Formats: sequence, structure tokens, C-alpha cells
Amino acid sequence: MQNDVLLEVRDLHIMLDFDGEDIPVVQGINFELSAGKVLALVGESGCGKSVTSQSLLRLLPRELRITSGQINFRAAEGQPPVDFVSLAKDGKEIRKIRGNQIAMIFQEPMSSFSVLHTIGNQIGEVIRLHLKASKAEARALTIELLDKVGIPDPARAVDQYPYDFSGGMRQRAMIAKALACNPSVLIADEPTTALDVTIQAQVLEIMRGLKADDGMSMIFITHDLGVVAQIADDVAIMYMGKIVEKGPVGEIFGNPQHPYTVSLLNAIPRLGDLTARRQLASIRGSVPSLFERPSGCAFHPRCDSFMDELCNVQSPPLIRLSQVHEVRCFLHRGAGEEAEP
Amino acid sequence: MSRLLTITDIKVHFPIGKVGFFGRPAAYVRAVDGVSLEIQRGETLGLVGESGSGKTTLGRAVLRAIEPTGGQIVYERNGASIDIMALDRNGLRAMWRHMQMIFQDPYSSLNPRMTVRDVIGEPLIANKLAKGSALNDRVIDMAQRCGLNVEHLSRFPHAFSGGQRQRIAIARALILHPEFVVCDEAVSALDVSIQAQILNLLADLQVQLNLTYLFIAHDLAAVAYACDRVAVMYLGQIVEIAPTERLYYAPKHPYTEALMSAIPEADPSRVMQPVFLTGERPSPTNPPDGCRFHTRCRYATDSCRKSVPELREDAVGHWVACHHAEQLTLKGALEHGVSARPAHLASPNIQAST
Repeated sequence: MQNDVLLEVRDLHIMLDFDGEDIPVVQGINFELSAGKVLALVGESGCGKSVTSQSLLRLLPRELRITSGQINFRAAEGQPPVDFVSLAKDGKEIRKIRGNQIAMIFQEPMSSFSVLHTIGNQIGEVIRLHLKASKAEARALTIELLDKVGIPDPARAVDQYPYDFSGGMRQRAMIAKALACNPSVLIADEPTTALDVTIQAQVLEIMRGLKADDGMSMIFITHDLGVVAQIADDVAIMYMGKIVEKGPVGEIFGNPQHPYTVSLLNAIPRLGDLTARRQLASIRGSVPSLFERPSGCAFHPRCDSFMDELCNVQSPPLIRLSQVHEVRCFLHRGAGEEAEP
Repeated sequence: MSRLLTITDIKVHFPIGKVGFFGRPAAYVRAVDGVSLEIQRGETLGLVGESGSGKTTLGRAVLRAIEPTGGQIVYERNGASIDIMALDRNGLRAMWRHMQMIFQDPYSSLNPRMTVRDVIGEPLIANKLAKGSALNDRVIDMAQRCGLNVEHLSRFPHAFSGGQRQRIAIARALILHPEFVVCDEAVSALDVSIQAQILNLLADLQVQLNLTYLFIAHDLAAVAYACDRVAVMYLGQIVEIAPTERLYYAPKHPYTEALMSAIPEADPSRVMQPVFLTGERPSPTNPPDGCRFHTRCRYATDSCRKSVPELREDAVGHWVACHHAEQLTLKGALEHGVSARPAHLASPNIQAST
């Protein structure tokens, strides 16, 4: 594990237990998160991006389990990394890390707040539990946090209830709660998806500030490529449980190599050419169900570059096109070193 | 193009709370508060605005799926002007053959106990328009136009993905050959690749079946693709209507400018620089006096706090409700981002704006 890497996922496999039958959901993914960087996991519903993000803190629901792989986390520079997979799912060690060193925010902020307690009490509770602060200290710190995420009049907001807040304010309050223990990694699962566009812009601005001012590292899960372009340093495109392409954001948007990445980028409506509108390039068919995983490359039934007897038979290798750009597709065989089968 | 719908000063006020035993409402939520619109035959009119702006309520009020509190809706059909508000129950039901709706969530809008054939064919049976083999033929024809296969018809909705369910919902809405369709967030719940398929399908069907759409959505990029004209709503009122390119590239209302600036561009070499609206959105129960947007507008003056700006035609086909529309030079979509290239590579004028 390199020194500036905080979190590293190695060959992670996650299975769904479906009435005793094991259905693969995540199939051997690898990525690393460096200090102060934002890594976006991108893909359509069912690609495994949310499951991956939940597995990082061992928060998977009972029917999903990690079958192999490593999730290595280094709490501070120079310290030996801890492999989360080797820890007990609800043990003391992982609970110490959750919320403390790695925090998580979700699409729906109401799921992380109780309606019965004030915003201040709920954020203050986190601070008192984790930082062993007094009630007054916790309150002062809560107000500071609410101010940091742009909540107007934080001294008043601290005594309000979640239902007093609009959707955008709740999302900001949830970010404040996640920041309470000063984590080094923030995992954000579709944090702006349910928000209006102007509120989304504000939340993105807050997250950008966290990265720039506090050096926060983030794993950002989203399906919105516009948001990815605006926040991410590195991007991993997922399809049916595998990372099909990975690289710096400029490479992925400017020089995409996997047919799926190319089609996704062509399918989004862009504002640059409104006069040429009305026909978008779409990807035919839809994402197959987990129970009907296509043979070979899972994308082959929808791919325009499909090669018979190859793509539908063999699983494509991961090809390293450059130091930072990887793609999993037979089209690029010979264009780089084959990293794994 | 001829006019299809003329909506004048339509209002939808929902009563909340009750005072006294017989319950005079304590207040009203003014979800739609005096909207006037014309919809031309064959066009796609977009309706955008943030949650709570009243766009969905307006879409339903136009069909009288929600009963408007006041206003006029006139529908032009075969040379006659039909006053929708004056229709009785049966008259309205008959009109609904020509006015249909497609919803956001294809998981909850289809009856799980009916086969796809029955889901699509039900409107024909309910209206006693076809039966037997004629019914079957029409169902098959519409299913195929919507990209479904004949073998899909005997299955149940749960066997389909979100995109295919939306195709089923569209086939059901179009089986009566309506003229006017309200698409309420019809592509919002779909994945990127499927959203493109459905947007393309709606555009194809519009040409084939001569449809007029009211396209309600919060995704501004999708709206830009789908619509000929776009109306922007804020707190129950329309603040701007213009042909799509004009509205996106040369907005005249400060609220539209803020919306356009907040669209995240799928281009990492340009960093978005949104116009941030100050404060929270006021409650539609008690909207601000004067211009409703003045509490959050960075250009607001005294006159904005006092007098209500009328929606007026600023240039040909470009309507705006702002006292200062003529004086302001606002930025459109794509004009807000700055190049993220290193400073020594950036051109001088880009440097100046950072």
C-alpha cells in the first residue's frame, strides 16, 4: 500500500444470498483513494456502486456478504493499514472507525436524523460520544459545523427539528453531522440526487470546499456524469459489478476507451448543441438482471463493438493503457500491459 | 402552428388547517397562483422549476385532474373552442380521451395484477372503443410503436425493467390517440442510457401521432433536449417563457439565470460557478409582496419589493416577469463555468473572471 493512499480495495467480491444460492453482485474490484482526492464510482442502477460503498464500512445488509478481498485503511501516515474484511462486522474496531475516521452521507437525509430530537442534540450526541466533549462544548462545536456547511443563523438552527428544515438544509445538516468527528474519509452515496439544481450546486460547493480547505478525501457514488465532472479527481465506471474503466476525470471524459463509457457520455443531454437536439445516442436494451448475467463481458449484448466468439465467451482482461488509465475490454488488447485475467 | 390550449389566470389553492367546528380554512397554499399560457398544436412546452414551484400541480390542473380554484382553460378541437372548466363529469371524461398523462414512477403507475396487454388495452375497453381482435390489433400496434414485442404482452409489469415499464405506461397513455399529453417527470427516475431511449421515443411518437406535450421536469438538460419552448415557474407563477435556445442562452429573469448557472456541465475542464440564491424559498402559503423572487434576487430594488411585475413580451416570443428585464444583462447556460486549465495556459479574459 503506497504511502499517500488512505483506503485501498483489493479484489473485492460481494455475493447476494438468494435462498441459499450465491449471486455475484460485485466481482473483483480494485481501487485506491489518495489523501485529499475525490474518487467517483459511477454507473447505472444495479452496477454495484452503492453495495460497494456500503461494504467499505461493513454496513452491508444481512443477505449481502463479502466473500473475498481486502479493504485496507490507514488511519494516519506511517501507521500499518487495517483490513476491514478481517474485522468482525459489528465489532468494536470497525465501530470505532465508522463515523470517526470514515463518515458516510446518503441520498435521503431524513434517514440519518430522528424526528424526535433537535438537530443540535443529534449532532451533539455524535460529538459527545466520539470526542468525549461536554454538553456545552458539543453545542458550540455543532453551531460551528452548521455554520461551516452554510446553514443560515446556526445559533437558532441548532434548536430546530429536522422537519423545520428544507431538503437542502437537511442535506447540509447531514454533512455537518458526518463532519462532526473530523473524519479523514467521507463516503457520499448520491448526496445530491434528490436535490433541486440550485441546492445541488450549493452542496457541491460545500464538498469542494471540504476537499480544498480541509484536504478531505471522498468516495462519491453517483449516476450523474455532470456532477462527476464537477467534483471528481478520479473516476471508476462500473457495469454489473465490475469496474470497466478507471482513470483521472480528464481522461475518462476526454479520452474514454470502454464502449460503455463512450455510450454513457454520448447519452447525456448536453447544453452545448441545443440546435442539434432531439436525438440522443442511446444504449440499446437495458442492464440485465443479476440473475441473467451475460457470459463473457457482461456488456456484450449492448455493445456496438461486440466481437463474436470472444466477448461472449471470455471475460476481458484489465488493460493498463497508461500509469493511471485502465480499461477492461478486448478492443484494447495489445495497447497496454494486461494487469490481470 | 395553431393554438391547442389557452390557459388564463389559472389558480389552485389548497386549504390547510381549520378554524372553528365547520372548518373555515385557516390558510391556503397557493400552489398555482395565476398562470396564463398558450400551448400550440404539435409543440413540446417544457415546464421547469424547483420542488414546490407548482409545476406538477399546474400540469394536473390543466387536465382538471386537480380541480382548479379559478381561471379558464380553453381547448381548440375541430374548429370549436371547448371550455374545459365548464364541462360536467361526463363531458370531462370524454375530453380525457384527448388529454393524457405519463407519470414519473413506472413502478407504481401500473397495476401489478394485469398483464401488459390488459394494462395497455384497458382505456379502449373502458371507453368502449374496441373489443375482440380490433382491440388486440390496436394494442399490438401501439406496443410495437413504443418498442415492446408481442411476447411481452402476456407478461406482468413486474417482469420488466424501469425503462420498459415506462414504455408500457406510454403505450397505455397513447392507445386512445390523444392529442395532448402531460409528461410529468417521465424520464426522471430512469438511468442515463434508458432516459435517452425514452426521450427519443417520445420525440418519434410526437411526429408519428401528431402529439402536443407539456413536459414537466426538473432536469434542465433533458428539458433542453425535449422542448421547443420552456416556461420557468417560481412559487406558483410563471416568471419566464421563451423558445428553448433563448431561455437557456439568453435568459431575462434572474431566477432563470440562477437555474442555468447551476446545471453541472459534463466537462471537467470547466468549473461551474453557480449564482447562489440567498435565503430559503418562501412558503407558498404566504408569498412575499411585490415580485415573489425579490427576497432571493441579487438585483432586487425598491420597486421589486412593492409592485408585482407583469409577465410581458420582451422580445418576440420571449415573456418575462421582471421589472428590470431590459436593464439586466444576464448570463446563460455555459457562460458561468471557468476554464480549469492551469493559469499560464488560460486565455487572459478567462483569467480575469476567476
